[in-house]
Amino acid sequence: MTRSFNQLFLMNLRLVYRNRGGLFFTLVMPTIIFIALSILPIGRVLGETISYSDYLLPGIIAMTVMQGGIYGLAYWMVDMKSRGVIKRFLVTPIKQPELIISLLASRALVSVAQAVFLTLVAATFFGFALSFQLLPAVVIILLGSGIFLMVGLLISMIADSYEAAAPITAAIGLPLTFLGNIFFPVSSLPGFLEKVANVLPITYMADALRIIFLESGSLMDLGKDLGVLLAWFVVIMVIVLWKFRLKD
Amino acid sequence: MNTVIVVKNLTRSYALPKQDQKDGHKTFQAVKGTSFEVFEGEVFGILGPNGAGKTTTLEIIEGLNKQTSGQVTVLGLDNITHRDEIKKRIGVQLQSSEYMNLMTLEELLKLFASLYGLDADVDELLGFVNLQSKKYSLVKDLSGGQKQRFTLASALVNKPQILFLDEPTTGLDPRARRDVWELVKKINSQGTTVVLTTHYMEEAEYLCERVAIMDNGTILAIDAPKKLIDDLSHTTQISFLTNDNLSEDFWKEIPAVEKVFNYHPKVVLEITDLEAVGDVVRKLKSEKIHFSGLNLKTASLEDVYLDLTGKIFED
Repeated sequence: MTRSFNQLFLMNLRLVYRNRGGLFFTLVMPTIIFIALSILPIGRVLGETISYSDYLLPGIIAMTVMQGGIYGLAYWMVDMKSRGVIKRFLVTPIKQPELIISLLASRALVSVAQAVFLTLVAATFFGFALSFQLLPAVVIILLGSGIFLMVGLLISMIADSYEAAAPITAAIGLPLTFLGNIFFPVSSLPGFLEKVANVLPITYMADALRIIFLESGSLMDLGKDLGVLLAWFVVIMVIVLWKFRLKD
Repeated sequence: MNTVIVVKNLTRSYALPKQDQKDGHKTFQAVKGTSFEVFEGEVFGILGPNGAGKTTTLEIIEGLNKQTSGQVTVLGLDNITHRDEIKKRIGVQLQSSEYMNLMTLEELLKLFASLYGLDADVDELLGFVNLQSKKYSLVKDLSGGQKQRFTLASALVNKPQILFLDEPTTGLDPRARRDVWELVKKINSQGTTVVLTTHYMEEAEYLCERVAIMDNGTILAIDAPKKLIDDLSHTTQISFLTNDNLSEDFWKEIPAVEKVFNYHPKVVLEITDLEAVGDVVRKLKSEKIHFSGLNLKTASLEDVYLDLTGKIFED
């Protein structure tokens, strides 16, 4: 690790935890949604053995990871760009890949922390059993995080201002939130929407996390989910490598 | 004297958006073939109104932008082929002094130094700009003047040979502006070449050993401010406000009146002889011209600009 990578990585972590307004969206809001929906008498979804709270936890984790990229990183980049901070970096001999990778790595770490927090809330207040395997959970969260953070980067490249970014993030974020296997199974969607949902990466991320969290699944058990997520990751990474350049 | 920057026949064109294209013009030329040199150890200024092409010129030299045609060498290095090498050896203060608001000054200096592969001497840098007490403060808690001084410190983390300042005092109050001027002098006195753009005449006169006057993408004159002023044929300017329309013939009985500029309601006369002030006032009185705001001014860079462009310089 070079000195500059460490500094950039630290910078990103500091900016995330010092941003009180941002912490509301990264921690408080998903937690409130989780608690509220867990308390409401929504009923049992998947037979008698699984509570809605247990069903919801992997979905909410997938949602916060998605939002960290599509809202969190995209808005942050647009803000840096519009205030001229990116330009300030570009007058130094900064290595652009280093800045990008430090950005993605630090925010992926934040996603893992969010997942840990939500899991502990579920275990403490809603009787979620901490009997899952850690490694596959971390792999899926990092993979999903990578996908959505890179989407956030691409949004920030198209949008020059918050006003320009807002409709794009909404157009991408809302379908992911409501069709993406977070609050209810994809199979309960009408046919056309189900087809859409079956393309979205978040559908597979939530599904994989459910297998891990509720069935103690290992990486071997994730077959199709893992394959689709890897495919999304590679496709978006190719687009980022091909198109993304830091511009002021 | 060593030359540290050479700019030759520099042009920069931008494609115009469709709705702004007229008369078959598809591009807008922001810089129209400028040439100049900067010498080691001097403070060199580019003076001109907003939109003159100052920032574009500076950004091409700094490696943020690329020319359409022409050559630029910085410290003997070509600005296109050796961009990263140049960036290591220069310091840049941009027009915007924005940073990540939630970082402390110490953290930011360490971060910027690391981008050059260096360790920042945080105390020395902050001491230099008189911000030691703010070492652990967040950027968002700084005043405008403090922020501007901090941007100077952050531009010095790599001990640059040339420091570029883009409008370093725009938007500052007079006190803060003074502080920045003294800092620039101090930096220059330690051997750093300084290149700055400004649209403040006073700033150029006070700080710059040589100044290039730029307007509409072209450099009109380059010299020491004092030399540019002395070269003007006139020595004094009289201005006043009147609602009457006075033709140039009105002044022909007073030979010392060399040039007349009518900017209704303002009239500006350039006179070669101070004695003629009395003649001008007597003439206005005898013709019963109502006037007010009579002002007498010896030549400054503003007059050089007026002389070169025929326009009044407006900040």
